[in-house]
Amino acid sequence: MAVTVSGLYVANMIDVFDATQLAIDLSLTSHKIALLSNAATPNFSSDVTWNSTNEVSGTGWATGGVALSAAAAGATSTAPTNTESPTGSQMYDMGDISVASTTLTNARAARIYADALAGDNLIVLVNFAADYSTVNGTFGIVWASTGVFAVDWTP
Amino acid sequence: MSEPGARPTFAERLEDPLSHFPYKHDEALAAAGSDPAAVAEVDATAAYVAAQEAYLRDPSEETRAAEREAAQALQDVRRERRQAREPQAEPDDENTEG
Repeated sequence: MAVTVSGLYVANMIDVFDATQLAIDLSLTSHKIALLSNAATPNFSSDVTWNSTNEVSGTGWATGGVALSAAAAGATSTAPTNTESPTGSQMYDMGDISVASTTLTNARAARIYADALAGDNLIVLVNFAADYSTVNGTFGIVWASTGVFAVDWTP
Repeated sequence: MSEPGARPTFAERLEDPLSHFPYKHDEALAAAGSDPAAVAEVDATAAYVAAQEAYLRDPSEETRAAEREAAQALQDVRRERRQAREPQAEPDDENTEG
């Protein structure tokens, strides 16, 4: 039982591209970012829908997470972008997460999911590789220069 | 309204309370403080959100191109800021001659 890697939720990505035409729009700010404890065991092949099992929530960070429209410093938008970067690759990126006045215990990973879809479809999990807690403090995620995730379409 | 699970219309996106229109530029600037790199990212974000809003209000090749250009500009600002604060990789001894 542990979070070991980051990844995209494969079943949902397949549904985006097949006849299902799952309507994941990476430019939406209604997607939410939710926190997960290390008691979780993500399965990128079979996990499809967000649920609250093993979720980390607390003061300032509700169950279900925070909308991307209010998850940056000053409760402003993270302004997700979906660009070609570097050439031949698609990068999903956003401003750093910074949510003030939180009290949270042992967050090990973050999941971004499509809250506006009826299925609350999972998009991506980011593994922190350690547990992080706050006591009436800011919970922040500083994304790498390679973004939240990037897919090399021209390997 | 769209069917549950359906892609929202552009008009719905503009009215959605979980959208970022209009961008809270003043609040973002206040949070950025005096860090020039953070201010540059806030300004690039504002330009991107404005370009996105223009496209959603008036979808055309021109507004779409402007949105993509603003998104790329924002991405470039973010990358530059992050690369500046990320630790630089040590030289790879195995690939160093001599």
